[in-house]
Amino acid sequence: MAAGQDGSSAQARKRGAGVHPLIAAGAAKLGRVLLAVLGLAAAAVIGGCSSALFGSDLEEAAQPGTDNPVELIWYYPEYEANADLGLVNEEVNRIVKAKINATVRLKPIDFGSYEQKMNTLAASNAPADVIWTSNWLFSWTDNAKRGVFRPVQDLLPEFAPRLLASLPERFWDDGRLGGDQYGIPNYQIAAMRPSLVVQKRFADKYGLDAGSIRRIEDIEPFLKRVKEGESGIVPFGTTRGFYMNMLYGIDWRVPVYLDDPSHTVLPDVTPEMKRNFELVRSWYVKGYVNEDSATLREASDAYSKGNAAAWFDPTGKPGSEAEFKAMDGGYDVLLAPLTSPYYTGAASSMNAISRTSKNPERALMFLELVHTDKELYNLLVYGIEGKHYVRTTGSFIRIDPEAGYYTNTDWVFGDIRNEYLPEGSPADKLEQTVRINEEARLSFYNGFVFDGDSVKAELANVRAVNEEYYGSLATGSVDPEEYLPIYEEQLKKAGSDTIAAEKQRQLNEWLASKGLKRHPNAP
Amino acid sequence: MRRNKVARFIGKNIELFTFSLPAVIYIFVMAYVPMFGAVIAFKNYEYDKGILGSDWVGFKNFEFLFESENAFRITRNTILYNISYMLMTTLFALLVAILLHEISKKWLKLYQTAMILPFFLSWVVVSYITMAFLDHQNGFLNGWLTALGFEKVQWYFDAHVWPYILNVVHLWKSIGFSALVYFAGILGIDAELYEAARIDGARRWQMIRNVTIPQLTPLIVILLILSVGNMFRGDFGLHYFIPNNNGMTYSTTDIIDTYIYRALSTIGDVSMASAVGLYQSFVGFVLVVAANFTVRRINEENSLF
Amino acid sequence: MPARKGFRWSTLFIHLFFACLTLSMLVPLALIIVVSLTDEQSILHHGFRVIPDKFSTTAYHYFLKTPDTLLRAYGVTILVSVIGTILSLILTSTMGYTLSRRDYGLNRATSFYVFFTMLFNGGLVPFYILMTRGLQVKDTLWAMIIPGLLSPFYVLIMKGFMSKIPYEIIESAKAEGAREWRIYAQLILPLSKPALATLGLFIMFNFWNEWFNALLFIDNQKLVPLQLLLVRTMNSLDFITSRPEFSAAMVSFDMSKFPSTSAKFAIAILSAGPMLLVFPFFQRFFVKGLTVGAIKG
Repeated sequence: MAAGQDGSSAQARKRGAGVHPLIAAGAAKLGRVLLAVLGLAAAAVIGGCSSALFGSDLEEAAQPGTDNPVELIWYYPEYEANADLGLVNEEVNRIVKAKINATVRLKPIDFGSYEQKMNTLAASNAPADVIWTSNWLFSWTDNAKRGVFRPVQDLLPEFAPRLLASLPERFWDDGRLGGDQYGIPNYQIAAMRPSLVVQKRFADKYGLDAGSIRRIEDIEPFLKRVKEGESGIVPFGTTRGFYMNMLYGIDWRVPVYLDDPSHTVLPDVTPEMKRNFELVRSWYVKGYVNEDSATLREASDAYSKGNAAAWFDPTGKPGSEAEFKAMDGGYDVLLAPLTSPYYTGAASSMNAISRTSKNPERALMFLELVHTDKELYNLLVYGIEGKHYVRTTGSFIRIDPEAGYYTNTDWVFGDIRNEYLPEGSPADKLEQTVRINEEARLSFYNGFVFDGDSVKAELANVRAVNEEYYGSLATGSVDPEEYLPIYEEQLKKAGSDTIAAEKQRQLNEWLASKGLKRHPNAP
Repeated sequence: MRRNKVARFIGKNIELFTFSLPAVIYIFVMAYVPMFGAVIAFKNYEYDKGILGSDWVGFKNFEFLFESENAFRITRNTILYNISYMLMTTLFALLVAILLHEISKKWLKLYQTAMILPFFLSWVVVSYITMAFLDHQNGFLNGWLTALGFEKVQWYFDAHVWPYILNVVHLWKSIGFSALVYFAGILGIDAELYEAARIDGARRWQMIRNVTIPQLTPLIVILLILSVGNMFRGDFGLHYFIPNNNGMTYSTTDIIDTYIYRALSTIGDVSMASAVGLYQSFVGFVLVVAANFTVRRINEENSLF
Repeated sequence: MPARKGFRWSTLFIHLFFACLTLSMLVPLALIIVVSLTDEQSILHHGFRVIPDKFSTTAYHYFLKTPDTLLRAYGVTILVSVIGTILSLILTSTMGYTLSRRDYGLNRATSFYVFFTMLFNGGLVPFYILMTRGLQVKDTLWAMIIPGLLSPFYVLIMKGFMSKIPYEIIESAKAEGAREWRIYAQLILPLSKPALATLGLFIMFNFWNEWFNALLFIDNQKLVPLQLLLVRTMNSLDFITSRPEFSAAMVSFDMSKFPSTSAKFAIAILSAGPMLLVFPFFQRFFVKGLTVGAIKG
């Protein structure tokens, strides 16, 4: 065939030595016709290829029971790649194979890429069995609605009864959407206690009694004394300000006043927020707040130099004094809680079964092991005993971070009640965590999940407006007198009212469905 | 007669066509086959239904972009910056390339190497460098200002200065690349043309004007048309990392790409993201076809297609 | 090229111009090197200094503590870059040459065919499906090579370069009975050395810096390229710090897991450094223009 073509082209070349313009024009026209034909053919081929590739493929090959060996794939986030992941994976398989006749491929992805990669994988219906998800990274509600996960309420009692029993009911509630259980929460701290953090050396020097602080305003005299007494010290270090609904008597699940019997959803900008911004602004003007607050990127930038006398910590977890000390240049700190702990939910770290999983039963059995098997759990978190860590006294361990495996994310895997404690953690860290989780105040609206699907455009635009104004206002970098009205107006234009109205509508429905008090304006 | 013509057309072009065939096939597989996926911009993509099985929603995914109060601002910024980058880079790169051609080999190597260096750095790294200059407390710029007796400037809060900063940074990073392209273009010019000009008694700048520039025109035009196509697509890294993603300066730094990132990064909506991309492509396409048409009217040989 | 003999004011000005330009390029880069060697505490308290208070090489220890991983990553990157650049130059130059031939009947149509893909694409998801299910290159080196093999932008630049080659020499070669592939190999390629070197450099740079495809398609730790190794920790930091809701999430982020400021600059040196060493290789082709006469003779 090639020879024939070559021959004809040789002839053509001879003939076309001096191409006549008319012939050239004719050829060009012909070219166009040819192109049209080719184009149609191409379109058909593209269409064919594309539908072969991008059509949906529904295949179910579920075989319950543990007779046949299966391989499971687990995606979860990590800080950095561990050199010894392969070794740990082998150990994991040794345990898992013996117990449920399955092997697992651990596929950790670094935090920065997790959302992007999982979005792509999920949207492409790539094979996976267990996927880590949360309300802040790879959103479990959005992805559940898009069909990424498989509901598990039908399988849980049969295939993971011990897992089902191991978590409190309020944890399970947080992974449920529209009656379907998608998320399998990890057990970790699930309550918040917004707190002020004060460097002990300054608290001692200026006679601050951390126990006397009830509201954030109470710290101001101390800031004043630090400002006057210390040069080179920032009285209050911040990067995003410290406005939180909870500090101002507004519910943290849905923005409604705690004592409001009418359950009215509040607008984004409330008088309380205004008060807060004015307070920060006055601190900023008086020089209590670091000037560069709005340009700092890392939350820890506010205190990591060790030159901030006080700062705000939204979580106030047990054991955070030690964490802050490690990060602020080694200075001791005091924690002054501003509220009693309140339950924020277990949705900040969950695992879910992928809809593309061919063995959801085995995946659940595996998750049950992760939650209940102490050896497996600590293997995943800390690596191999004797190689990556050693047991010291009691349940304490010494970690060698250079040994090739150390995740430092106990909250990604299972149940932290199973964990060994790294040296230096408070001995009662686990008891404290359990106690706070149990004592934490429950929101009246616990279980209500806002579905933003119908206001997607508004949500996107409101988010962009927040990015633009919120940081500068909340850190006092700009005058709220001037900028708050602009912020409010921009929010309105972006559709914040529409969102609030939609939220109200869904809330009313939810209240009605629960048989709780109906909104007076409800239809 | 007709068959004869077809045969002749094929015969005349078959050899060159075979030449382009590997690339044609590559483009077909890598670009045209997945292009069908762009339909998700018009769908409410639910993964379990697949791309083709999801429901059509018309232009709903495009709405958020046009409903936005900021649509005008980000469009204006994107276009103005792109025009300014395009002009600055072209003019400076041509100047540099032409001047490079005038000096001796030894120096040429040094200058060229120095200029290409920034091209190899990522925007994140460049943002740290600019931070070293602009930082309020420790920045070099404010250090010099106070040394000279001026007030410190809060660079990251001042929206007015950012058009200048971004232009300088962009030029700094891209000049090496663009100058190299034009320089390679100059090297490809037939030396006989210069020889002929010299025999005619042309001076340096006359040679530049009468030989270099006209010879480079096809390349310049192609590059310009291509950048027109990207008029609605901004440089995300430059506009996101260099101003430190600070709300105070959005009025002059925010472009379509950074806005979309802010708006969509947590929603992770494939359909909405795809809608924006399609919109940018479509406008770029219209602009390029118009630009190409204009060029074709002036000088057919310089047009892109 | 114009002859240069004797002193000229204009030459002095040109050198002054370039001296300023060179300085403005070198000073910030020197800064990167210095900062990568500065003690972290010194950066925290005094910001960047041209001459730091305290030197330290700890930033590099972080990466050099596992030299195997780093060396393997370099190996993967070099392999991908070399194979990718060679294949890509072949595709780009053949396509570019075809487009540069004004007598080619499908010239405009093909130009359009190429150009169209520069603006329109199917997006990430179809691309991912194509690569994993269609081409099935997940977890292979090809996953990093194939997507970068042909950039329409470079093809069209190549066309721009090659269309300057006088058509007469092609015509005369054809008149002598030369076949297209001989014209291409013996006439066009030698004449296009500066163009090939320029695009080769850019293409190699793109392969060198490739990490996104690796992120999507490479799970095998042994195939992780240099940039993914270095960039992902850096990007993690920027990503997390740009998302305020992260700090409100009930999880503790261990910031010490992320690279320190000096480590970020060390990353820049480790990742961009080798490209700078490669540059002179390409530069050989930029220094001297080729004359058509020399080829003809």
